[in-house]
Amino acid sequence: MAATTAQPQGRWLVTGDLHHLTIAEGARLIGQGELSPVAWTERLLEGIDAVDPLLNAFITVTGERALSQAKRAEKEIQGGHCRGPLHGVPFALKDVIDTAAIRTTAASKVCADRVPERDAAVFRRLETAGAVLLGKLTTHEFAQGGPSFDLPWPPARNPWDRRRFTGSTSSGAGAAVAAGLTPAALGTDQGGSVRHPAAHCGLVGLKPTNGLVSRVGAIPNSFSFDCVGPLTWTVEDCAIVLQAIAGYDPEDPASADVSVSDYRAALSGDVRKMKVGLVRHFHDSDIDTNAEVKAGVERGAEVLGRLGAEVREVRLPPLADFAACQWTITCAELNAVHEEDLRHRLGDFGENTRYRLVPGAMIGAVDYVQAQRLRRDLVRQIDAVFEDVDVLLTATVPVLAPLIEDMKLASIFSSRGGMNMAFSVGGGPAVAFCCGFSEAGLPLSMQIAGRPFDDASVLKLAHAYEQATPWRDRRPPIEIPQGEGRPHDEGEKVSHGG
Amino acid sequence: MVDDKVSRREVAALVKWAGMELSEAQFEQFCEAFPHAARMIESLPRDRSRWDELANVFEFPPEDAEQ
Repeated sequence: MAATTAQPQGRWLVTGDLHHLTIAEGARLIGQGELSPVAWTERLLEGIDAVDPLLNAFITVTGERALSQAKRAEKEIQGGHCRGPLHGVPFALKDVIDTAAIRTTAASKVCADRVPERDAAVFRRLETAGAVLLGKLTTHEFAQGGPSFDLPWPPARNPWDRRRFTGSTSSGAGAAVAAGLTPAALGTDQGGSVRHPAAHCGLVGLKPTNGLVSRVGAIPNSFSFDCVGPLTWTVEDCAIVLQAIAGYDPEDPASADVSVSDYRAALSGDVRKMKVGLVRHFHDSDIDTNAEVKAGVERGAEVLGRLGAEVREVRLPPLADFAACQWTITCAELNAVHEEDLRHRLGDFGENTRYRLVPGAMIGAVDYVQAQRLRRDLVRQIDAVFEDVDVLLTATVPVLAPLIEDMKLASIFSSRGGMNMAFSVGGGPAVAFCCGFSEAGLPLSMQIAGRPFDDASVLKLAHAYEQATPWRDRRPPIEIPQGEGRPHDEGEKVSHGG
Repeated sequence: MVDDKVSRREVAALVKWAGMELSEAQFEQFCEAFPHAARMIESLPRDRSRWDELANVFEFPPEDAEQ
C-alpha cells in the first residue's frame, strides 16, 4: 500500500508500492493530488518490463500510448476535470477484446497479425472513463482450451507458483492482476473464464449477468454464453470497473435495456438476513473436490453466517447436467464461428484448440437443440431455488491450481471448471473471490451467484466477506524491483514508486 | 481411443462430413477425444415432451407486443 507525505508548496511525494495500489486507493490519491497517473503508469510499465518475462501475462504492451493517455488524464485532472474513479487508472485487456490500431490476436496464429478497425464497446467505455490501457493480455487460443506451448506466445504462469496453471482462459489477466502489473483487467467468460483464473490467482472475478455488459468487439467464443467481466484485487475495484462497462448497447443483440445499479454504493448495504443457499452437493458429491477447497467453502459459509446472513443448504441439478449442456452448445457454436478456418487452415490452430474443436464435428443439429432445451430446464430449476434464497454459494473450482506439466489434453472434457459452468448456463451474475490459502500457499476461492441483473447483491455479500477476512493482505511471492521513478519537470508534482 | 461402439472408419466419416482434413497425428487425437465428447452428448436428456422449448427462443418485451 502506498503512503503519502505532504510536501511544502503543493509538491508531494508518494512512497511505497504502486504495484499493489487498488483502484479505489489510487483514485483517492489521484483525487487528492497525491499521486500522478503518469508516475503510476510508468511504474507499472517498469514492472511489466522486469517481471513479465517470468509470467508471460502480456502479448502486447502499449507503453507509449499508455504514457500519452496518462499525461492527458493528469492534465485534465489538474485542470479540475476528473471524469471519475477510473480517470488515470491503468488497466489491461484480454487479447480477444478488440482495440483499433492495436493488434488483437486471440493468442492464435490464425489472428497473429490482426489489427481491428474498431474498438470493442467495453474498451470505449473504459477509455471514456479516462482509464489508461497498459496492453493486451495472454489468453488461451480463442478463449478456450488450456495452456499451450505451440502457440505464437507462451502460456501465462501463476504468480503464486510459476510452475502452476493460472486457470483458463483469461490467463494473462489472472497473472497480471495477481502480480501487481495492473490493478484491473477485463476478461471474457463463457464457462468460467474470468472466475477460473480469479480462483487460481487469488483474485476477484465477476461474470456479470448476460446482457448487462456489451460483447461488441469481443471475439466470439460461444454466442449463448459469452460475457465480458473484470478481474481485480478487491470487490470494490470490481464494482468500480463494472460500473464503467455496464449498460445497454443497441449494437449487441443480447444486450439488455435495463437500468444499471450503483454497484459501489450497494457495497455498503446490510447483509444481515440475506438468505444464502449453500450448494454443498457440488463439492461434496458431484465432482471430486480437493479437501482444502471444501474446507475453504465451509469456513466461508460460517463467516457469512457470523456476518448475519442466513445460510441454508439447497440443491441444484447435478453439475454433470450443466457440463453436458454447456459443452455441447459451446463446442457447436465454436465450430460455427471457426468453420472456414477449421476446413482450410486447421494446422494453424494449436493442439489444445484442435483437441477441443474437432470433436464438434460429431455434434448433430438435434444434439444442439436438445442441449438448448436442457438449458431452459436448468435455468428454470435455478430460478425456482432463487424463490427461497437471495444468493447461492459454491466453491469456484474443485482443485488447487495444478502444475502445468501435469495437465492433459483430455482435461478439457473433465468438469474442472464445473462449478463455474452452472451459472454460465443460468445466465445470472457470479463472482469468484479468495477465501483463504492452502497449506502450500495456493489461493482458495468461492463463488456467490445471484438472480439475473442482481449483480449488486453478489458484490455486496462478497465485499462484506472480504472486509471480514484477512486474505487481501497476502500477495504472491513475486518481487518487482522498486525503481526510482522518473522525476517530472520542475514545477510539476513529483512521484516516486519505491 | 475410439471405443467398441465406434469404428475408426466412422470417425473418419464424421471428419469428412465436417469438411476437415486431418493429418494422421490429428486423426489419432480425434480418436482419443471422441469417447469423451460422445459421453457428453449421450448424457443429454432425450425423453422430452414435444412442446419443450429451447432456451434461446425469442421473448419479446410486452411493450413490443402491444404495437
